[in-house]
Order: sequence, then C-alpha cells, then structure tokens
Amino acid sequence: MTRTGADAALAALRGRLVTLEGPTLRAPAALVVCAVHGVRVGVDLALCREVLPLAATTPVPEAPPWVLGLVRVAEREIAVLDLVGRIEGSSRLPALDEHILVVHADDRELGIVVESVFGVVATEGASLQEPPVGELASWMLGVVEHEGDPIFWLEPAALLVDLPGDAT
Amino acid sequence: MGNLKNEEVGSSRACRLLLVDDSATVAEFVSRALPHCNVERLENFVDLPAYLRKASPEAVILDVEMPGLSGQGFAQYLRRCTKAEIPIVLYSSVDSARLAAISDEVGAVAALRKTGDPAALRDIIHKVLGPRAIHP
Repeated sequence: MTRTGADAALAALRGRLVTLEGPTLRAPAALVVCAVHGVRVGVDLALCREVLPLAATTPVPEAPPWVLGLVRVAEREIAVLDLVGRIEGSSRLPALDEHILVVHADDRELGIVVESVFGVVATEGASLQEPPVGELASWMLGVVEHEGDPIFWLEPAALLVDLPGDAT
Repeated sequence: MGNLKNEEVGSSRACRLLLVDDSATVAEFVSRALPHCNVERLENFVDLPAYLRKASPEAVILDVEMPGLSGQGFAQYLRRCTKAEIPIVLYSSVDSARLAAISDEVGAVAALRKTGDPAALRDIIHKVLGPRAIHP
C-alpha cells in the first residue's frame, strides 16, 4: 500500500472530524477495545456492528493477501481485512481464537481481524493525544488514555485506502 | 537505535529498559504502558554492541520473531556482548507453548504474550525489577 495515500486520507478524515466537532478533536463516547498486532486498539462504538468468531471466508480473486476474503453477515457479503498481514505485506493464517470485528467504514461495512476483544470502555472526556508512531499510524486518529492506559484509536474508514473496489 | 520519548521523563532513578522489537507500534505501546521506565529500543541486533557501550539496561524485553536474527539468537548474542547478567523478558505473539519452550532455551526470567494488555506487562516488569519500575 502507499503510505502517502493512506496518510493523506487519514489527514482528511481528521480534518472532517475537527470540522464537525469544532477546533478540538475529542475522544468518542465509547470504544470497543481489542488487540491488534499485540497492542490495544479501540474503534468508536458507534461504528461497530458486531463481533464474530473467526469464520471461514470466501476468497476474493486478485485481492491482496491481507484481504482474507468475504464473510456473510445479515445477508450481506463483507470484506474481511487482516491488518497484521497488511503491515507485513503477506498472507497470514489467523489463529482460530481470533475474531472479526464488523464495523461501518464510510458507506460500507468491513470486517477487521482482531486477536481478542477486551470489551467496551467509556471514553467520554478522556485525554486524547497525538496518533502513535509506527506501522499502524496511518489508520489511527489518536491515542485515548483510559485509566492511565493507552488505547490506539482506529478509524475504520482509513482502511479503505488502497482497498480494491471489488473487495468491498 | 530508536529512543522513545520516555527518556524525556525518565530521571536518573528511572528503570532503564531495552526493548528489542522491529515494531515501532509495539515500542510505542510498551513505552506508554511503562511510563515510569526509561524505555530504549533496538530494531535489530546490529546496534547492540554500540548500545551496550553507552548504556546498562536493567532488563531486556525481547521479541522472538524479528528479521535477521531470532530472539534465541539475540539472547545468545547479548550474553556474548556483556558480562552482566541482564534479565531477559520475552514478549511475543507466538503461542504460549512455543514461548515457554523458547523461554527455557534462552534462560529468560519471564515470558509474556503480546495481548495488548498493559497491566499484564506492568505486572511482569514489576516482578522482575520491583516497584520502582511501576511507581515513581
């Protein structure tokens, strides 16, 4: 993937959120907190639809290796993305105890493979810091501090960058 | 060598930890999870001798899956590079059974799976280095 494209898209998303919320980007009211790539990642609860056990996916021809395939959710086929595979640029076989977090991303739904789900935490008014550095940075809006611990705030729409159209 | 921002808040009394991990994201997470430690990072083994000439970490947090040299190889290299017995804490995404086997092989004092749980990481570091690593 091209980081430049992802960075630009995320910057635009951050700008849109700032426009909506005023001059300061705030932490969402609640986050669904899960583990991705060994770190705590949170997705705005308002964007989360459900958590599924890791299910068999239908492969998508010509899709990049980090698109695990399609899974059927409520009569719809949604693409399942593996962020670890995307970071490593390779195909990965997730462990059977991993999960799929189904999220809204702009006008569509996506499945994100997560290693575990900690639960939902209230983050209204929580301290929000600059996005983390590192390989997940392109998809992060910031770091939310919850009871002194960091949660890397993931923006699902940022994952759409570089995603082939026929995979969604 | 990548130095994390905890160095800025670390005092001379802060526990000095060396994190060996090729993931910058994990490094940032560890740094934030251990705010009272002075966390320094090496992305690979090449910089180890130069690092050890300048620094004496109280413990090493070691990923076992890195490009170039495995965690086992790094642990052996570390033992060759320094006479000090630096405690090694394995920190990896590999499954528990394999992590335990590697831990025995390299003589690690503790091993922890990367589950994204900062409290678990603090507990381990607390056991290895005592309360100073957790409370200022």
